[in-house]
Amino acid sequence: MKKPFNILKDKRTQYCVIIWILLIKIFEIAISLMSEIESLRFFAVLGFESLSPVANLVWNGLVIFTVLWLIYRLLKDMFKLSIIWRPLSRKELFGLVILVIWVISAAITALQFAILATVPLANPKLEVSRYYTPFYMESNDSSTLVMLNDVEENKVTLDLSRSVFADPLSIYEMGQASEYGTKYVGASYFNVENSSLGQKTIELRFCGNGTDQIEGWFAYRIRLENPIPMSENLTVLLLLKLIQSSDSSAWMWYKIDLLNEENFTYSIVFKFHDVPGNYVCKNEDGTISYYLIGSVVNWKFYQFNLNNLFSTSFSQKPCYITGVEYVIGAESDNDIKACFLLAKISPNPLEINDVEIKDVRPTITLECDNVIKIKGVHLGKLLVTSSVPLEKENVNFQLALLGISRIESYRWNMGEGSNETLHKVQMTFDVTRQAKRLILDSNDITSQIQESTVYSLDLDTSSEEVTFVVMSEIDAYFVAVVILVPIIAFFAYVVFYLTRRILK
Amino acid sequence: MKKHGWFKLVAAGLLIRLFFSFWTGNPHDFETFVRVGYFVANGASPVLSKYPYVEGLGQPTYPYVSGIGYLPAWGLYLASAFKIYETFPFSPCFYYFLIKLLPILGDLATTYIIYLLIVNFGDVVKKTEKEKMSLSFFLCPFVVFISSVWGMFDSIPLLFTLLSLLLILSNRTYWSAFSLGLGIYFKVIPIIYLPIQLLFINRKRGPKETIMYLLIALIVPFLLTLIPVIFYGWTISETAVTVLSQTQTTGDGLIYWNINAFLRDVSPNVFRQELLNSFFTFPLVRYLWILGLMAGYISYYKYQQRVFTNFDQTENLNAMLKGFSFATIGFLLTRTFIPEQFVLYLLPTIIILSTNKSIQRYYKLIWALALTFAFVNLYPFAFAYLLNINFWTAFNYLATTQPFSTLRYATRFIIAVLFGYYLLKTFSKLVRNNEKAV
Repeated sequence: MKKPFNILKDKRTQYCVIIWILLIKIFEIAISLMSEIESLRFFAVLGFESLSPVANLVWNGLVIFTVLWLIYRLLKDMFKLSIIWRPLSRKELFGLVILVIWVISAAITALQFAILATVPLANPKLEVSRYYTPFYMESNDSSTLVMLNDVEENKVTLDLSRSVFADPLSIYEMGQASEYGTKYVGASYFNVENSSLGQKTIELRFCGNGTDQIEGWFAYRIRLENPIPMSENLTVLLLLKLIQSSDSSAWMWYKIDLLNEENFTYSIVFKFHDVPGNYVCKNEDGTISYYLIGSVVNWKFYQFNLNNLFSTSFSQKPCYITGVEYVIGAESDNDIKACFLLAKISPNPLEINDVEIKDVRPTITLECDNVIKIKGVHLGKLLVTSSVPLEKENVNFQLALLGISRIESYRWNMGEGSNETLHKVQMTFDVTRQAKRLILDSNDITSQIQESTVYSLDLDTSSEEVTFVVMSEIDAYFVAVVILVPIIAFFAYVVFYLTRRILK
Repeated sequence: MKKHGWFKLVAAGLLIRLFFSFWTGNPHDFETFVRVGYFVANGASPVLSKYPYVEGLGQPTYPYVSGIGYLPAWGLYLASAFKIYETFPFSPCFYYFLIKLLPILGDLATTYIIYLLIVNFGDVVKKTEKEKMSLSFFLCPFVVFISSVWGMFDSIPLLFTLLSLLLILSNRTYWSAFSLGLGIYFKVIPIIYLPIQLLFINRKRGPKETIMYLLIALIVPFLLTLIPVIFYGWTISETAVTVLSQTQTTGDGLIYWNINAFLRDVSPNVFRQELLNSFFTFPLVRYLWILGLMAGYISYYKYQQRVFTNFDQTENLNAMLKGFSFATIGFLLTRTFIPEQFVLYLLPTIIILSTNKSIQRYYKLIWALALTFAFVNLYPFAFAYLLNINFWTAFNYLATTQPFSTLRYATRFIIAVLFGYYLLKTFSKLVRNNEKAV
């Protein structure tokens, strides 16, 4: 009986295994290339991105071995060439070992030099965030204007989640609470509070009774004594955040009840989840339309034209808004919160510089007068983030006895400062593995930086100048090996050769 | 078999299926189908990452289930089933019945295709024997279980795969490619038979028709997927991730790799999830099935090289069926996740080849082991979860609490090893028959 591993000695089996491994490698390369394209990124699921570094090393080593094995097989089978191994003498073995060490160290050194010389250690960017107080311009469409006096670049980023809205909520009437699966009455609530920034906020809390797998909720329903009549551009503005649950079961909704021309009530529900997923559906009798939106664990901003939504959902014309409902829920072993900074029914959509806003941190292109024009909401304070232009950038290399360093230094001048309230100065930079030492305004911050691709650092808002230095160093050990080993080997050989000659 | 005896047996098979159809289902898969049907009918994509429980439909076995990992055909059928259910004032049982109606009809149609293959191209002489062979598929308890109890629809892609075989033998090559394309449109698994078909056509009709066959078989499911995606505006990336992530499942199902779950249960500190994951995601383990399929194709190719004459259709049928069996066995023995319903693809080919008594024996052992595994993996009463959620809760308790869980994982592993052993025996029997044929 043949031993099972004898099958591996079979030439065809070997080819089969070689093709299999190379097919997987080709597949991996193809997947990697395809996932570079945005619309095909989903193919990455089939790739090996999740492999650990050790597994990756083993896998690539295996592929290299397979290629060598294929070359050996082809030499033998196609070109009838065979490699005959003969034992090496001590001298040859010694020479071979030195050669291998030299090749490895030369390759590593070359690679390190290449990385050190070409890869930037950090691409720092300094940003300042300031609060601006708007002024108002009365016209046909009441606009809020913000004048940015001290911005040099033509693009700025706004942060709606840190701005103060003059009138964030449309409905302040009393409502009725109901709950299920909560810890005790009062543990879950609906509150309107003021944040530390002076923002009026709706806080919803669901505190479950601890039961797993059973979904609980807390609802706050407001029936309007004076229904709001519909108008063509009536828009729901929602700026909200939901705290992630332990088991991905958290959700909240904002429901609007509307009357149609025949006095029938239809409802539109904006239901937000803590996990991904976006879709639309209706209840069985077609009177409630659900818009389910996922991943609302950071501040998100949405605005919806009610007329359009109502018409597309129910093929009817809406007349009045008669009530709203806030609900928060999750499996009952959770204690979660949700906040609304904007829950507003506005006569117009939120537009900034005539562009409809879809993001909580929109980037705005400024026009030549540096004025931002806001329609749809009134603001008390607007947080604007702009980049500070880099004044100086230097890249130096230094050679020392035991190391080679690359030093990148940056300097920003913060200037005289603005009359507006300076909220935050933040530096963002990419930390590469090569970066060994980081000095910010003469302070060594290396220990504060964890391994991450992009790192943000809050700075002292009173600084007038910011300096940032990044250093990287490679050991000169390999350089020594690269240079010295061939010289030592040469001298050793010469001495050995001459000694033998002389002794002869 | 007496006159009209086959009719009574078909009627009995249908009645058994109808009896189970409206109140049973797999608590995960069937629940997914129920929810996906509802949401797709209401405009959502069939492959979203999360579907919540729908009040009044199915049961809240899971707060959320992920979408179906197939191309859109089945999702569209589920949506149509929900739309039909919506127009009648019947209970949700009617919806459950509609979901299973297509797989049940698939069983019947597959049986008829098996009959046609045997009648037109088989080497069985007696008519009663031909009827008996095809009915042995229709009345097989495992087949009944998969379509009418579990609610899985593998009989549909299987039907199209066998139809493509029938058409290829009837010299309707391009219709055969179209049929295989439709099979792939329902579930991607029939694609493993494409190389067998290509080798056969290349031998019979040359490379030009082979390339055309390949193009038709791949373009049909691609276009049929693209149309609803564009028409309904479904998100492609989510669709693709759900379909492709089917390759991610590791070390479970009717395969010896399920020792993974047993080890984790017995010693979770030693066999940590990350350790086992890194093993199962290692390329050579994850894509071992490619090697398994290659072995199947090479076995078929060698057989084809030796025995083919161009005229004997019985020989052609036997060769193709052997090729199909080699590919299925190679796949079932090497993939790291084998759901029970994949066994269905092996049964018709073995039935037609089972004029040999020993192969008949393996056929019975294979379906019996697969059915036993299904009942150990998910206890029989759990399939009645639609009647009462406590059936599911009770199973969940038993499946996750020691020592019941350990016993369950150990039994699953033993059955999977036995199943693998009999697959190997069947494979070696088929190969030995090849050698005799030569």
